[in-house]
Amino acid sequence: MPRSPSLFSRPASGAGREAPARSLAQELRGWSDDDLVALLRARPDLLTPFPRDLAALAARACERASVQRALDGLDTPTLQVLQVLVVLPEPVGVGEVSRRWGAAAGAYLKNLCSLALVRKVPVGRGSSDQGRAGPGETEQGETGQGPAAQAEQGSTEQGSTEQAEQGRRVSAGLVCVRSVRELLGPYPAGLGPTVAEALGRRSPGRLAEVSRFLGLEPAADPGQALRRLSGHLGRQETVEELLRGAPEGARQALDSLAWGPPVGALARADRPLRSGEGAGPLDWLLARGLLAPSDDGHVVLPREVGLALRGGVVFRRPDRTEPLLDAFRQPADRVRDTAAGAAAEMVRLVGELCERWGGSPPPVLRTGGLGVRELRRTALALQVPERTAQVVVEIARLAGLVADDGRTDPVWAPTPAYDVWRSGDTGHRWVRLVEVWLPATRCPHLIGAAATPQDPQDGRGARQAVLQPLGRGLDRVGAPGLRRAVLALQVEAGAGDGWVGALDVERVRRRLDWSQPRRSGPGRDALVEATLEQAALLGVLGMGALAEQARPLLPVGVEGSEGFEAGGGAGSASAAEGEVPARGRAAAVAAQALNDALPRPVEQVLLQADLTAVVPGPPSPELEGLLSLMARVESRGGATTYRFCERSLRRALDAGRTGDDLLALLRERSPAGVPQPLQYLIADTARRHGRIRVGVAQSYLRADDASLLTEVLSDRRTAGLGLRRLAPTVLAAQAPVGTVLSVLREIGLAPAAEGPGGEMVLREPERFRTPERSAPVPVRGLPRAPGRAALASAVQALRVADGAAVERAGRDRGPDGSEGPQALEPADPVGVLAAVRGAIEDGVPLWIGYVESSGEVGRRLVDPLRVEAGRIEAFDRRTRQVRAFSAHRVSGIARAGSLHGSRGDPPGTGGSA
Amino acid sequence: MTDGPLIVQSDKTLLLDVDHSDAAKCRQAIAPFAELERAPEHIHTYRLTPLGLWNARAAGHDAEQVIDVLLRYSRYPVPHTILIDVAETMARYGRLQLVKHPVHGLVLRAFDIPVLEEVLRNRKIAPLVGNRSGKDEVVVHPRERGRLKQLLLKLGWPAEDLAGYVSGEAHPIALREEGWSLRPYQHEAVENFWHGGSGVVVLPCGAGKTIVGAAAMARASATTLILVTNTVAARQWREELLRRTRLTEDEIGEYSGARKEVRPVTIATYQVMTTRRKGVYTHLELLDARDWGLVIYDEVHLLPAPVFRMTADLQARRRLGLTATLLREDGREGDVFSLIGPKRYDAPWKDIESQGYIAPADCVEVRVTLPESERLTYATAQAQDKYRLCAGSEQKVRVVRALADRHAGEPLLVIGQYLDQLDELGQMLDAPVIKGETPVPQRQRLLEAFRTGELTTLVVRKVANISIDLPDAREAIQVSGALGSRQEEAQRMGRILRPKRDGCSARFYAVVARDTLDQEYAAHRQRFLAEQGYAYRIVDAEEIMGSGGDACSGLDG
Repeated sequence: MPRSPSLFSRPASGAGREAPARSLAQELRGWSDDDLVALLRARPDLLTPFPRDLAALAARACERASVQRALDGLDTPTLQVLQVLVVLPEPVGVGEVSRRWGAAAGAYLKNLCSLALVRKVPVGRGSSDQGRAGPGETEQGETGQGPAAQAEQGSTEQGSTEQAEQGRRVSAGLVCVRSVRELLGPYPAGLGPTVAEALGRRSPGRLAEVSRFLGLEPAADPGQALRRLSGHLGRQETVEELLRGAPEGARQALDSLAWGPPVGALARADRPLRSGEGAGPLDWLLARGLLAPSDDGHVVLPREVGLALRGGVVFRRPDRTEPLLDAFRQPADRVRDTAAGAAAEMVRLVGELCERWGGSPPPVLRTGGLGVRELRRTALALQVPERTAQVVVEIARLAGLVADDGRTDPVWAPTPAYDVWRSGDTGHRWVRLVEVWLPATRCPHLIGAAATPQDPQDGRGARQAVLQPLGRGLDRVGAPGLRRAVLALQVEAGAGDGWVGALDVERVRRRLDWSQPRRSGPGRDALVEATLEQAALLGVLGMGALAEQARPLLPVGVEGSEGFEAGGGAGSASAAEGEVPARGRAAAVAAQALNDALPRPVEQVLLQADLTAVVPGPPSPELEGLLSLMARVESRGGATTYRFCERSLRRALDAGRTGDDLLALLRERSPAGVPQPLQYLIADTARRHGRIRVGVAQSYLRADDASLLTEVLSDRRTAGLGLRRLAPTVLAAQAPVGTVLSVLREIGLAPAAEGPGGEMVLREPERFRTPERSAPVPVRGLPRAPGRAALASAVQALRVADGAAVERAGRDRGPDGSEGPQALEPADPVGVLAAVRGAIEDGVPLWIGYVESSGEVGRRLVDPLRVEAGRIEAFDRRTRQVRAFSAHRVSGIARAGSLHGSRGDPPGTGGSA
Repeated sequence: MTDGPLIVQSDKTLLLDVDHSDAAKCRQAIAPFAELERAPEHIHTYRLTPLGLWNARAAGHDAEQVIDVLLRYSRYPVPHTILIDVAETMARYGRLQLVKHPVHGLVLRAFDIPVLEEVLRNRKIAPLVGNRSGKDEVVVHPRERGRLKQLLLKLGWPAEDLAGYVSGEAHPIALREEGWSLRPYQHEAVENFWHGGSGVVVLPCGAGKTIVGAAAMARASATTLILVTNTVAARQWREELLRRTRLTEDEIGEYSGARKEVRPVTIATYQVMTTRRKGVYTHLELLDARDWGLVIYDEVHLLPAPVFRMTADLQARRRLGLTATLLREDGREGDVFSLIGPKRYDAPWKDIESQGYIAPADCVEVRVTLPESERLTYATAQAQDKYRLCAGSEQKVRVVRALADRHAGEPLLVIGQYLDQLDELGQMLDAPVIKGETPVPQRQRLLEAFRTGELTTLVVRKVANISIDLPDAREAIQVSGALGSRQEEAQRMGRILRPKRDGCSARFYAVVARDTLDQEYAAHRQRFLAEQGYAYRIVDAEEIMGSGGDACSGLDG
């Protein structure tokens, strides 16, 4: 080791620490348009909502949430490089990063710069790279440098030796955006805090002791002692030398912490320092600052010591190459056929679901979903496991085929779009399902998981305990991205002469753990598994491999890396326009490919003596129509079996067919004839069909004398009663009993009403009564007179309110009588926060336009005090109170700096002027 | 896409196109793991069940073979989920094993610790096991061996029982192979059973299940307890054993309602085993009366539930189940699997075919129309009387007469339920009637006379009274009553109507009153028979009675 620069001697603050957003904004101004486009393409979230200017863009790029999103997209080597950067004191040179990582890091740093996660700063005195930068160091201008230029050192270093690279090194150091540091956690790369931080908590006495044990000169003040300690322990050879003299066990203790986590449990960690006789190895380490107590029960390995133990590198090895995909080969025709079978099955299931719900729609729960019991019933009816049924209902909803009908008692029912969908052939129906699935954020595999309280609640109010199918809380924004990534891997798995590469969950997961390490975890594993499962159910995959008929449907980005991350970027808009016809063509191609891959429809049916029918293949639509009318389905799959029974045949007869019709139709379709038991069943059912007729009548007329009824029937005045003769002595009427009675009386007959048991009922006119009601009570005169005390407090309240109004009128004119600024600058929350932070630093008051929770809009003059989690704490000069303002409610902002006095002294007391 | 004979459905049924040229090969390939559910004329339906797959595992097949068979013969792509399901289900068998431990006696050993943890956490299993004797082992009380296996099966983790058996009290038993010899498949069945330890041998009717039992006894050469369905079956076993082995009369005991003999070989009926007095099974001690080396269960598919409970305690003894079908009406196939053992032998289909199992008889349903007066009585009768009214119709007697005339001289069996109807038929046909009260000797004499041809017509009440010793009949006419459960009915019918030696098949007539309950029952029978592959036709009574003797030709067509 030629040199051991004391890396950590500088206090941990650098140019990058102050107002990162503002200096990033300056930097962004210097970027070329292409660089900015690239940034926005890589981090599309920076564009929504549209930032006001580059300052706002920079502010947003430093926001924690956005940085987190950017970090989550990094692959393992880039993340490793970033971690190396983070553990080194800023600013850091590219060479140093490469050295500590163990491989050329330039390209990765360049990428990080172009993502605005890392930026270049001019190196000041005392910088870490100073010792090595050499005399040729020149400071480059702030402007005119894009991210590419920034990391130029890196881009050229590929293939060159470390030494050469260092010789050509330029002046700039790299710093990372502050949120990166926070997001990477307290122990980036498994390394603990720096010596300065770790020992900084100890008392001056202890520091002096440690210094003494290390044989350092005693320092006057603790700050100096710390600096000396850091300098000393920051040298790798110091640590190595110390360890050579370490008692038994010390090395092992350190080794167990060396590769992280750097924290170990130790009782009474904050013990008095001892060394020599009777002291254990841990005491020895504590005494020399090789371990530091983090609290009374734990010790932590300081970063410098950890790095020294790791031999000066941050990671065991730079993890640069992606793991081999190692796809296994499946025969292409089998993949195609299996996927096609699954696709046809999914199309059928969705269709059957809609048909079923069209007949008896299940209710929409108060929480907006579908009940668990309804789902179970649906699964049973579709003869699929519940997990599959969940996918089916979600897909049907995504495709807009079923929806909440929005009535008072809402139900899930098919939409008119279903009828359109149904009219297409299997291929087109399938394409539609796949197209809605690809970009979907719904995650049916989460159904049944406990609903988290943060789940957004809409107006319906009711709270769901678990996530329900079709319910709220099933959307995951990461799902489409992951789906694209998984499908891209399936494409990468390759295909060749007669084979297709297939991937299982394990293989996909291994690769994703490398390409997006920060997203790994049980949640993503479940999502990966669900994605593969759904893709198989939808017939996108067959036997774990991508089916050829599904390839045209994949998003454009999947085939290559270009456009993979293209979201709503401005650059992709024009491309999207051109894509529309292309996508339509792709859909048609895919639909045709599926139709070709499906087995030919079968026109004939095998009828058997046990009253079953088997269609040994997919039935043609006509055959299916015929059979589903007269038989019920027993099992589905490659073939369909039907069973004839009296009930199913009755259904056919009810639909207007005759027994002979049915037999003739079956004979036509059955090559082996119609078995005799089936002939008998049809004949028997037909014979019995319709022997009893049922109809509706409002009342009836009965008379022993048939001629009397004939007379009634022939009277013109009874025409309005809708009379019909059922038997010689019975007439049915379509009018209620009362009407029939009065009409018959009018024509001079003397009818009597009949009760349900046939007894004669004598009718009296009805007399109405209200339900139980109470009598009115007398009305009192005036309200009771208020007491003396009540009157006094009322007067008091009136006076106070009056005084406040007068004061307000005076103050609104502004502290010096002027009317406040002419116009506030409109700002978005990020800009507001940046402006407020600036105002706090400069100590100037602000005019803000603020929307109150009541919806009232007003201008306020405030002295900002603090910014925290999107809230601004400020002194409101009008109400003379410190209160919190939400950043998103601030409609505009302007400095009021020069106009009035200092913040502690709000201007004139109102009304006194 | 291949053009195979098999279609795999998404509900895990397999449809076999019997007219396909590869059908026979395919049938043989899927038989080890799929259960035949229906066998009508064109498409046979098999079902993939966890039990079937586990049976296959126990017989040494693995998931790869099963999947390969499905893929090889399937006409359409096999749903991926089914392949996964097969692999997963089969992988569950044998993760847990019951083995003997030199120190702890019986232990449950796991090859998958999480599975062991899962089952030990089950509320019902916890009391059956003792302490953990290792990370992957837990001690099991020998008495709980059966119950544990039962529960593990219910949880979907069937245990492989490798704990071995007690050899029991030795008793020399030898086959007397004079003028006959063990058929190859019988020999194979016995060997498979013996190496498996315990289990079920599935053989079609008439394939010599009793001989398999006798050979197993000879292999064990130990005291044997044979559990059979009823007394008649017990007698038949006894006779068969005397004929096939060197056992003497004194060595074979009958333990039934009539006699209570405990001998080295004891034949007991299910009925006596399940007799209870004051809620207590009074004959349980038989199970412990001797140190049995072998327990044989005849007709396992009919084994009553209490016998299962008793069997749970017999897990250390070798158990042999004999049956023609593993399907049970009550769905307790799982108990057969866990308590008696997995399927050890299934006769190859070709043998079954040669036994004439597939198309054994011709079934004809004769529909009579009730006269107006009877219809009226029927329509207004109480629900409980309805069946009696329609089954006992006068019209039926006339149809039987016509049929008997047509088949005059051929052995004819008339089966009914109602005594007055049977007496009337007996008088009309001038034939003896066997009823419940007919003493056994007389019954046997009559049956013997019928068998020898001395008697051509016999009227019997319920086939149950004749049981397995039914004589061969060329024609049987059923006028009323079901023949027991659907399963039993088909089996008995199969026996009555065995293909005759001269090659023509027998014929079974069911006389049924049209548009009544009778017809509804007949519909069930029709479905079942058709599923079993019997030819089934329906004719009107008028055809038979109207055309007299000539109707035969019409019927025969």
